[in-house]
Formats: sequence, structure tokens, C-alpha cells
Amino acid sequence: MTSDKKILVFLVDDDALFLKSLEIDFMANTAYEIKTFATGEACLKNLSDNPDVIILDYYLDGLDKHAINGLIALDRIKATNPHIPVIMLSSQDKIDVAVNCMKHQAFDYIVKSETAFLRLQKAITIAFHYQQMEKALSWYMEKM
Amino acid sequence: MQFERKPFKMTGSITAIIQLFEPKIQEKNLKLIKNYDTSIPLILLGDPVRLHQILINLVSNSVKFTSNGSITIDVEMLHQDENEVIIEFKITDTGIGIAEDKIDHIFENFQQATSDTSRLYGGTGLGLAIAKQLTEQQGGTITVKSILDKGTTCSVIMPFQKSKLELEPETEIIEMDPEMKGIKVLVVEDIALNQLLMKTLLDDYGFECDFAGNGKVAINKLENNTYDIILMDLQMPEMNGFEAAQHIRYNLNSNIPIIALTADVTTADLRKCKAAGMNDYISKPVNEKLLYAKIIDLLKKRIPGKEPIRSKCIDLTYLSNRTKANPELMKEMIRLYLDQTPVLIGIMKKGLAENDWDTMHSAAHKMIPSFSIMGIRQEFENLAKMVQEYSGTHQHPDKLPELILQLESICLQACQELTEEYNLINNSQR
Repeated sequence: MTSDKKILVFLVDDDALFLKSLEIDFMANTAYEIKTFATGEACLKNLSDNPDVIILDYYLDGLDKHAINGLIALDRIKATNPHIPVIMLSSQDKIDVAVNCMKHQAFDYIVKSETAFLRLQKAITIAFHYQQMEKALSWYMEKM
Repeated sequence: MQFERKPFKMTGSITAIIQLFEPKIQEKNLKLIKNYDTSIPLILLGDPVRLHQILINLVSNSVKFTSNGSITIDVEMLHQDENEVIIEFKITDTGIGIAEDKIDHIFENFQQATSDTSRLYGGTGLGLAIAKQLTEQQGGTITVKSILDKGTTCSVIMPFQKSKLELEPETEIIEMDPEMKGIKVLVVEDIALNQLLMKTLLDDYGFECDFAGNGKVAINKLENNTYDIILMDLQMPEMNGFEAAQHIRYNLNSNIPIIALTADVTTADLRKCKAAGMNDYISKPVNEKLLYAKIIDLLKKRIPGKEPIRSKCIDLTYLSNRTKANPELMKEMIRLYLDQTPVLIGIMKKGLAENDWDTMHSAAHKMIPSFSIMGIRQEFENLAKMVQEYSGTHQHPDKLPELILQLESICLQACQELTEEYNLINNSQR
């Protein structure tokens, strides 16, 4: 990432309070530009903005039974652009949920807690590190 | 440190330990050889729990690091006189062994094995340090001989008093309270080994624990995390237990239960602890059952409804830290809470009325993160977690109405207090 370009982060969660608290955390760091969405549908509509990373709540259909859930949103994001790293968020610390997310090609799975933001930041850094390695690799492959 | 001196059957102890490891030993296709010296008196005086702890540590290491061959457990009486016997416990394996230059260090590893290491290695590597400490404090010795790739022999030599007493009825197992899960304990203790001992105890209870090396660190941690109870050592550098407790009560205005830990019973002045605002005290070495009972007792007293708590239920320290006390952001967060929470409660009650498990589950689930954001205590968050769990697993339908009622009343209180805070922030901006 070059220093003049901000990292565009999509935050998707139907819990307005948690969404806001994450947004506040991210806004404190000027390297990020944040867009928040309350539903998976709204996030998908805006994929043309080319987010660098998407942070997606697992349980988006909790209260609105007609909304798409996090996994479907994840699948659709991946179908549109498989290169965007998607980090899943959930308030439940459950292994089967985590494994399921990873099987659907989530980059990471993070439990909502006081330290969620720190762990998100770490995950984002790692995701970009991978992206850079992949880019470098494909560059070298082309050279060869 | 003090150890119990109670009558116990040595054969029973050894059998219990072997039984514990038999499945693992069979699974790994190892041979188990037991040589028990039958001249050992049937009943001895000592601390069987500590002895188990020592032997379990040693045997589990042997089993873990041996992939073929055998594990041999020898129990031999080396010496006896009128009053006492000296017994050697020897655990020999045919495992990977330890390099000669490492043997001297294997007992020391605990120094770096703080909560970090134990999280990585799941408590291993600490076993020998604990075993050594426990052995030596009971007047015993522990030695290790090993040849790399051939195997290891650990020997523990320990004295036991002879006894003419009858056995007390066996009541070693702690009755666990199934409601008391996921309790977060802050252990304020400067000595690493005591931290470890406490961790093993708390792990056994199924509690989570965090450590602070002195009162100052503890206060820092309390400002940034939520705990259910504090175990407080009294003698510590920087800030001792009395000062820390006073600070927690009068400066942080927290009524979190605090149990004082003290090494010396004679100086354990319950009045002095009470004066500093602590709820109870327990002397070291800690008796497992007593500690568990005290923790459960204090936590149960705090379950809402049993005691009129009219103190504030919210605490905006966390929010203020997160927003860097930016009034606009704080107002926005509070407004979101005020908008969202009554709706969630409404949905939950509707779900209850219609026997709609999924709806109750979802609403409780969505509510959970808000508790820590608004600094609402863990015990109340646990109400939401219980609603989530019961409705998710379709259990205890009889308990749900009461839980949801309690949750509603605490959320209403939170909303009231937050409205006041909101107005305060608003006024101060003018």
C-alpha cells in the first residue's frame, strides 16, 4: 500500500452499535477509509467501489429473516471478486462457525470482543502481506 | 507454604494415577510396568492431592514423550523408623530423552512460562517446575536422569509420616456448579510460581484467569477489562494488596468481589482486609475446595435480584477511551444504544410470547456486544448469554421468562442512566 492511498474498508454488520464502535476505531487511524453497511445486500451493491478488505458479520439475518446471511454474502463477494480478503466477525466463539467461514474462503474469523479491533488490524496487515507476496510471485513467474 | 497432613492410602493414590493414564498408554501401545513395594504401610500421613499433582506431572510427561516401549512406575520404601517412612517414586520411560546440557534447565523453564507460554503450549513445560516446587517444599528431592533417544528416569524421594489414624471419608472431588462457567478471575500475585499454581486450580474449576504482578498492574487491567472476581495477594512490590483494594473500592468505585490471599495465617487480619474493602480472605497454600466455595459464594451473592443493587450499572470509561472522549462520538454511540436496545428487548419478549426460539436467540445474540461497550458488568452480559444459549439449544424454557425479565430491567436501567449521561455531555458542550 502506498502512503497516499487510503485503505478502503467495508464494515458490514446489522448491529448498529458495534458497527459504530468499529468505525470509530478505524477512523482513529488515518490510513483507513471506511464505508459501513447494515446488510449484505447493501455491501454487494457497492462492490464496484473496489474495497481493499471487507469485514463481514456472520449473523446478518438474525433479526431480519429475509436478509442474506454472512456466508451467502461472503460467497457472493467471492464470486464477484475472489481477491478481496473478507474477515468474518461473530459474537459467538464457536469452532464450527469458524471452520465453516474458512471453508467459504474467509481470510480470517474474529470474535467480537473488546480486542476485536486489534485483531482485525492484525488480520488486515497479514492479508495485505499475502496479497503482496502473491503479486510478487506472479510478477516473478511472468519474468521467468 | 503449608501442606495438608491427612491419612491416605498410598496404594489408592498409585492406582488412581495409573487408571488415569491407562487409556493413553494403551492407545500409544506402550507397556505399563508397576512395581509396588508391599512393605509400605497401608495408611500414611501426607498431602495426597499434592502427591497426585507431582506424579501426574511426571507420568504425563513420560507418556507424552514416549512413542514406543514402556513406562515403568516403581514405588519403593527406602527407609523407615518409628515415625516416618521415606518413599521413592521412580518413573522410567523409553522416550525421546533429554540432552545432557538441557537437564539442568528443565526445572527452570517455568520462569518464562508465563500465561503467554502456557497459552501456546497448553500448560506443558510447567509441570516439572511445579513438581519440583511441591516436592521440595514437602522436604523431598526430585532428580532426573536421561539419555538422549533412550529414555528418562524421574525420581521423587519424599518422607511421609506413619499413622495410626483411620481414614477420613473420601471427599476429594469438588462439586462443580454448572451455572458457574466462564468466570473471569484476575489473580494479583507477584510470584510466578504462585501464579502457576493458581492457574492450575482455576483451570480445574473451568474458570478463565488473567494475572497482574502487582496492585498497579491490576488497576490498569481493571480499567480496560472486565472480571468477575479478584484474588489479591497482600505482599507485593509497587502497590500492595491493601492499597490496591482501597483504590479499586474508592477510586474506581467498583464493587467487584475481592478475596485476599495471604501466605501467613497469623497476619491474616480479616478486619484489616475488610477495612480495605475486601470481601473475604483465604490463606495460602490455598485449599481447592475452600477457594471454590468462597468464589461461588461471593459470585452468587452478586447475581441480580438477590440483593438490591442500585449502584450504576453502566461505566463509560471504556467508551470514553475508545472515542478518546470525543463528545460527538460518545453521544452517537449512546444514541445508537438507546435506539437499538429497547427494540431488541421487545423482539426478545415477542419471541418469548410466541415460543419462537430463533427470535429470542437472535435478539440475545445481537445484544451481547453492547454490554462491554457500555461498561455493563459481566454478570448482566451473562444473562444475555444464558438467554442465547438456552434458546439456541432449546433448553430450560422455564428459566427464560425470568432471565428475560432481569435482562429487561437491567437494560431499562442502562437506558435511563445513558440518557442522563447523554444530557450531561450535551450540556457540557454548550
